[in-house]
Amino acid sequence: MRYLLNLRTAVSVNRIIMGLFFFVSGIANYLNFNVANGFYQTVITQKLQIIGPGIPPGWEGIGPLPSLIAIPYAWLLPLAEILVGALFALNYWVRWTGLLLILMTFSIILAFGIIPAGTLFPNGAESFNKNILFMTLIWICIAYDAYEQKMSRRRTEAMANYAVNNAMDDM
Amino acid sequence: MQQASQATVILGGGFAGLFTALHLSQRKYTHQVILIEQRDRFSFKPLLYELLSGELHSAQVYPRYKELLASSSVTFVQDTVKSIDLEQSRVTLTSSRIFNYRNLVLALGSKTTYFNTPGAAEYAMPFTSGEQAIALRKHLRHRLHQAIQTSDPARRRLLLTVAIIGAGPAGIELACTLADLLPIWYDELGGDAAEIRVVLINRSKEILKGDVNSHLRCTAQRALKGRIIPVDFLFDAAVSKIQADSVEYQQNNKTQILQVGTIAWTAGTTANPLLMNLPVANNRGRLLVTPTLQLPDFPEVFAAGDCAADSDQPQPPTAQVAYQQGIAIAQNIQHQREGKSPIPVEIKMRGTLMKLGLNEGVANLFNKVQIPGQPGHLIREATYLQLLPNAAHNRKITTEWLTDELFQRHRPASYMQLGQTPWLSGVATLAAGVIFATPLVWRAAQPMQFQQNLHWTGVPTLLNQLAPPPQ
Repeated sequence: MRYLLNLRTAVSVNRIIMGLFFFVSGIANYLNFNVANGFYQTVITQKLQIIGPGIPPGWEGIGPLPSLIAIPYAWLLPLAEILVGALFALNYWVRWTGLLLILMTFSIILAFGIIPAGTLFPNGAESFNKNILFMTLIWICIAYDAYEQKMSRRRTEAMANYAVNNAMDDM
Repeated sequence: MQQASQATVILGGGFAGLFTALHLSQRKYTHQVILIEQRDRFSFKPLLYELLSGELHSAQVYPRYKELLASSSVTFVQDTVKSIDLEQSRVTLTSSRIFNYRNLVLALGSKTTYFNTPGAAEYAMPFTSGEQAIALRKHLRHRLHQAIQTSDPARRRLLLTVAIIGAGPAGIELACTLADLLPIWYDELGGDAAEIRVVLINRSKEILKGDVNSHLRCTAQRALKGRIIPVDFLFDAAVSKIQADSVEYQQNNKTQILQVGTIAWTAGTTANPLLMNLPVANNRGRLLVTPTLQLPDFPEVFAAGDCAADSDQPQPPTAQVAYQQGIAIAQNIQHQREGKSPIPVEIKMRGTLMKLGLNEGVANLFNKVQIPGQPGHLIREATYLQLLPNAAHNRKITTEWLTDELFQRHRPASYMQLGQTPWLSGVATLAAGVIFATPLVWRAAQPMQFQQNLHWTGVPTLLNQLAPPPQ
């Protein structure tokens, strides 16, 4: 129980899960690089959109990206996912690798839209990734609450010790 | 008591004195070598910050002379020098022991000076020896414990404020170390690290003024502001009085008072008073020596380190210089005994090194290339560890340090607490990632070639099972 309510453990597990998710995603993107409707084809043809597939004509978004951007992006994104995911999971340069992961995730959100494909709104369809994120984030909150309570207890104990020590010093 | 008049007597066990003694011993010098030092331990000054923080321990950077000199022929005498008689070739100690010498090495180092600031000697803590580093650590720990126990915010603010007087290299290195270390120590006690305040007080408007490291000013200034708790600057402030829990200073013709719990003094050093009484020329207490480090009127007497000044080739008072001077003096004493001429000393400056926080430093190689951050820290530590006296001690400590760095043991704070990354491990992970991704990229780019070339390894078959290639 002590380990479960430890802020550092919770943050570490959260970070490792996120890093691994991107690491595996990078591998999968290379494995499915050239297959029909695979990663490469998706990046080359995908439009940037806020509203996802299944939306009336005229709302599909802009694009696709020009080849000069799309081709290097397609080749480098999985590599970046592998490298940055591994560094993030292992706690290396977390601030910078985390920022890169957020930018990559944001680019995917732009590509696939947030309504209704992902989706941000509950619609009865299960989203495994989203649930994993919710679980780890809620765990952080619980562990942090436990941490705050512990610190508060420690301060109270320290103040009590101070009163005792002061009395002894006076003697 | 009359000692052997053929003896070589070395006064002072700092870098210059100790290395002279050790190198005479290594050279199979046949005459008696006596090292006289008032302390029982050698303080490796450049690494005292690591002793304060706990990155290195006492046995590593504050070893006993008896242990360092155990396998040598040097006689160690723990005593204080009372007087030096150059005419009679005689040294008298406070215990009334008298040593006659054939060769004398003056390596008494320097002493902290408080510039007659009232209260400074009583309340400010100097930082020039292992003993003082340990005392400062104990004092800071005590202050943090007092702070966590007090409910009065004003009192807590006072206890958590540290003033460092002097913005030379020692002041900057100490400020950077404490601005990383104290928030972590206080956080571990359950306190709010944001309440810690480290203030650097300097008489002039610039840091590192007139120092050999002055061109590292911008790097140092950035580092001071980039700590866990940014260091506050109080420049153009002349300290006029120090009390137990306050520093009074003059700034813009106004007298101001800073309430503080700890006062560290790194503002200045002066030559050993014994040297001022010698009948030889000196420059503000530093004896003027020839290029062979001999006194012009007393060629049997050598001076080095903070004691000596060569007007033709002035050298900064650093460990790097004192270490090389010690080796050169050992060589010249032996030459002198063999009837050969002493050789002028050539100091090779390999650049400068500064500690700019926990696990951060700057290595200024050959005064041309600046390597900051963790690589700078690694270069600094590795360089200084190579200067540790005594080959056996050196090997042992360097091995310990390397394994500690690799396995991240005995660290005063984790990388996570510092928000840093172990540089070597990070780059190794990046390289491993690139190696791991290479076959995947190859398969995506040239599926047929990949299948044919790596068929024998079984890797293509494995990957095909995970994701069949396009038909």
